[in-house]
Order: sequence, then C-alpha cells, then structure tokens
Amino acid sequence: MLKSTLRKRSLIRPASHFINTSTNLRKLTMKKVCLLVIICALTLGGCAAVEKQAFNKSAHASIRTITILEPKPSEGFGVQVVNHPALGFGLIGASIYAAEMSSKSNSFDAVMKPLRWRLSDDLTNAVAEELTRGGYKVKRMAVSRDGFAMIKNYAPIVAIKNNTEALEADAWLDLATRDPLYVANGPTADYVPSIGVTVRLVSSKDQTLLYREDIFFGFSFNAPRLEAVVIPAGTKYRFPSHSDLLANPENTLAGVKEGVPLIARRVANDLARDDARLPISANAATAPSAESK
Amino acid sequence: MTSIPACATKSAARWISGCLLLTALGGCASNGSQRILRAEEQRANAVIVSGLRELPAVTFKWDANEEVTLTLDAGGKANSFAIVGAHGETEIVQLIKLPPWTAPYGINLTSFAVGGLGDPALFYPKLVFLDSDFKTTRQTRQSDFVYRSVGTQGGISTNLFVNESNRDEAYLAIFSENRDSVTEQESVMQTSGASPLIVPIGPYVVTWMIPTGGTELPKKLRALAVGPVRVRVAPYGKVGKA
Repeated sequence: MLKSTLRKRSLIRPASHFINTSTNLRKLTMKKVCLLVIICALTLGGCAAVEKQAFNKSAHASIRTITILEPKPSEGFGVQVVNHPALGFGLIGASIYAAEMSSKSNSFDAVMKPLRWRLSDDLTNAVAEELTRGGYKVKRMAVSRDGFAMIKNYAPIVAIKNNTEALEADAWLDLATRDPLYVANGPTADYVPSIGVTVRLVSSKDQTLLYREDIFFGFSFNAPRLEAVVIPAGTKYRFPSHSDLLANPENTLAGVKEGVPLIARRVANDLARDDARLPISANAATAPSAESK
Repeated sequence: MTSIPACATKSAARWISGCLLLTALGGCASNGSQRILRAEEQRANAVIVSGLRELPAVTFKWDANEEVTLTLDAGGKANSFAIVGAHGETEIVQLIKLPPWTAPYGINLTSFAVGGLGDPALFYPKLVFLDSDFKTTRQTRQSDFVYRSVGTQGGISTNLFVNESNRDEAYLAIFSENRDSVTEQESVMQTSGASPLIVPIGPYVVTWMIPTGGTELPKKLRALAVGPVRVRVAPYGKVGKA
C-alpha cells in the first residue's frame, strides 16, 4: 500500500526509470533548463539586494500615457517539485531531479498546448485593460529581451524612441513574466498554480525608476529578499498528484488563468494609488484620541 | 535493508534523543493562539494615557541619502502604552516622530506574521498621520496593505509617501485595525527545510541532509492586538533595499 502510494508520488521508481535517465536527460529542452535556472535564481535571490520602488503618484501626476514593453512570449507550461529529496544527493540527485521535472513538464505541456492559451498575451491584455480603466492612455510595444528577465539595457529602445509612435509615452512599463507553472512544495504536497511577474515603470525621458514590484500568484517561492507580493490562489485549484493535473486540462488552466486579472489589478492599483491623499476614515473608533482636522 | 551495526544504533539512539529534546523544547515556542493571548495580556497591562500627546515617541535616525529601518518588536519587555477608544476599548498605540520635512520621502511598513505556519497570527496595523498638534491628517485602510512573502511566515505591508502637501505631518501613530471588522488575510507560506538521513556504511555513519517541504494548507491569519513591525523610511528616488 505504502509502496504504491510512494510510487504514485514519484518517490520511488522502477529500476527501468533510472536506466532511462540518460535518455530523459537528452530530452531536456532548452526551455526546461531556463525554467530550472529561474527557480535557482529565485532561490539564490536571497543572496542579492533587490531594487524596490513604490510609485509616488503625487510626484508623477503628469504621467498620462504608458507604453507596455511586452513580455517575452510564453512557451508553454511547466511543473516543479521544490524541496525534492533527490536534491540532497549532489550532482547525481540533481540529474535525476532534472530528468523527472523535464518528463513531468513535457507531459503537462502536451496536454495544455491544445488549449492554445498564452500567459504573456493574456497578462499584457489584462494589464493594458486595467491601466486604461485607471485613466492612463496605454500603448504596447513588442521588444526583444534576454529570456524572461527584465530589460537590462534600455539603450536600444531609446535609440528608436523618436521614430516609433508606440514609444512616445510618458513612461514605459517593463513587464516580465515566465512560463506558468504548477508547483508542489515537496513530493507529497499538492500542486498549486504559480505565476511570477516582475514589473518596472521607468520614465521614457531618462529611464529613471518610478516603480518596481515582484508579484507571485499561487505558490510562494522561498525568496525572502525578493519580498514579493503574493496573491493566494483558490483552494479548488490544488491537485494532489501529477496525474490529477493532467486529468482535466481546462480545469487546470482555470487555476492559472484566475491569477491574471488579479495581478493586473494589483499593478493598476499600485500605479493608481494616491498615497498622499489617504482619506480620513469616518470611523473615529480606530483613532480614538486623534482629533480630525 | 542493510542491517545496522551496534555503533550505528548507538549513534542513531543519541540522534533520536537529541531530536526528542528539540521537540520538547520546541513546545516552548508559542503558536498563534498563545501569541494572541500574550498580546491581549500586554494590552490589558498597558499603561493607559489620556491622549496621543502623552505617548512617548520613537524618533527616527533620519538619513537624507539612505534608507533607514526601525524595528518595533512589541515583545512585551518594555511598557506598552494604550489609549481608550470611543467605545471604551483599550488600544495599544506606538508613536513615531517623523523626520523634519525637507524633500519627499517614502515609508514602508511591514507587519510580520507570528506563531508558526500551523497556527499563524498577524497584527493588522492602522497608520494614522498626525500634525504637530496631534490632529489626524490621513490614515490607512486595510486595503492599503498587501500580503508579501517576508520573513519565514509572511506578512503584510504598505507604502506611503510624505510629499510637500504633507510636510506638516509630524507623527505616525500605529494603531490596530478594528479586530471585529478586520478581513483575515490568508497565509500561503509553506515550510521547507532539511531532514537528516543517517546511513551506516561499515563502521561509519554518513548523514545526508534531505530537503523536505511542508504540506500546509492556506491558513487565515488571526488578528493580534500588537505584533512585530518594521518601518523603513527612504528619501524618494532612492531605491529601497529588499
């Protein structure tokens, strides 16, 4: 009974699985390697300082037009099991882990592909819609970037700024996201949806940083220095096993899609907030001895 | 399975007894319910003052070029101060004297969840800005705070700016949101760590640290009367450190 449960949870595998490990490793696509790099970067993010900037609406009330620098198009879906026991066994364990994640991600991606949904498109549309609702005039521009990261150097964009109508805006919103994932906190934990977004607003004039935020939807990666905003996912989108993830792709997709409007609203709220004019609450009970002006 | 030699059994027994001791000591760590009770005791024992003017204010060591961090532990070692609310309830208040205004600056306040991931609790702050006459100029709502993966148990934070239009603000009072009307935030933080795996190889015992992850379900963060808070103040335009 225990053995069958463990097998279901991928803790133990038939010997043939390990014989096939080298074949599995060869099947590791570049995309999956990138995914692993992102996860590692998130984990190691604890070692580096992360820039943070809240948006000061009062100081930048003149910003009316924003150009969204679109994220790199999403390539598919992935699966990650963090805190995997195999990672305790050095390079051999890491190879076994990479092969297992690759195999799981490939089978997951195969069932999700026919749904023809791309996170990058949906997210860009949602952010544009929310910013428009917030009173901004929004433009969009597809840009080339290194992987899923933020733009490291705005110089090539600045160079074409005056000749490109889409870049004629008060500020540029650098929107970066990776492929959507389902992540389990361990081999016996439920799989929960995960979207990771980093957003940065810079002045189009001199690329001064006006706003920078990291947002996770669903699974909260252990990246303490990132201090990311975490938007919890609905509990109905928790899947106990990998086979449950594959059973009903529409339902699995709904778990990820749920996060897109929430992330877009968070970004729009941050950019629309006027902190300098927080209303004085009508309920004096919470500020008992403070007299209201 | 490999049979375990006697020396290994002895080592394993020592290790197990060590673990049991740690578990027993772990019982001393307070969970959310205990933290709530302790915070309520702290509130009951707080020195009640007649108004905000009577509160001792914590002064910021302001730096015009750098971000400055102030941590309010609220651990109950020092005297807490409270005022009596409109409905007769006692409420702990912490007062911070803001730096004199010379240029716009930003304030980031984070409240950290406590009590462990199994039974977490959180102080839901309400920030009230006051001028030098202790008159309220503005205050936050719960919706101004966002949930963040800070520390090991998460927390909530908000960003506020003191611009020229707010230059008269002299104090920041940290109250608690009304606990009857607070919407409890859901915690999605999960544990991760490493468990030792002891494998006897001949006369030796090899220990591997195996990564382990918790299987915690999302939990509501119950409201605390007072809790640990971090305040960061930075001149606007200086990128904050995270």
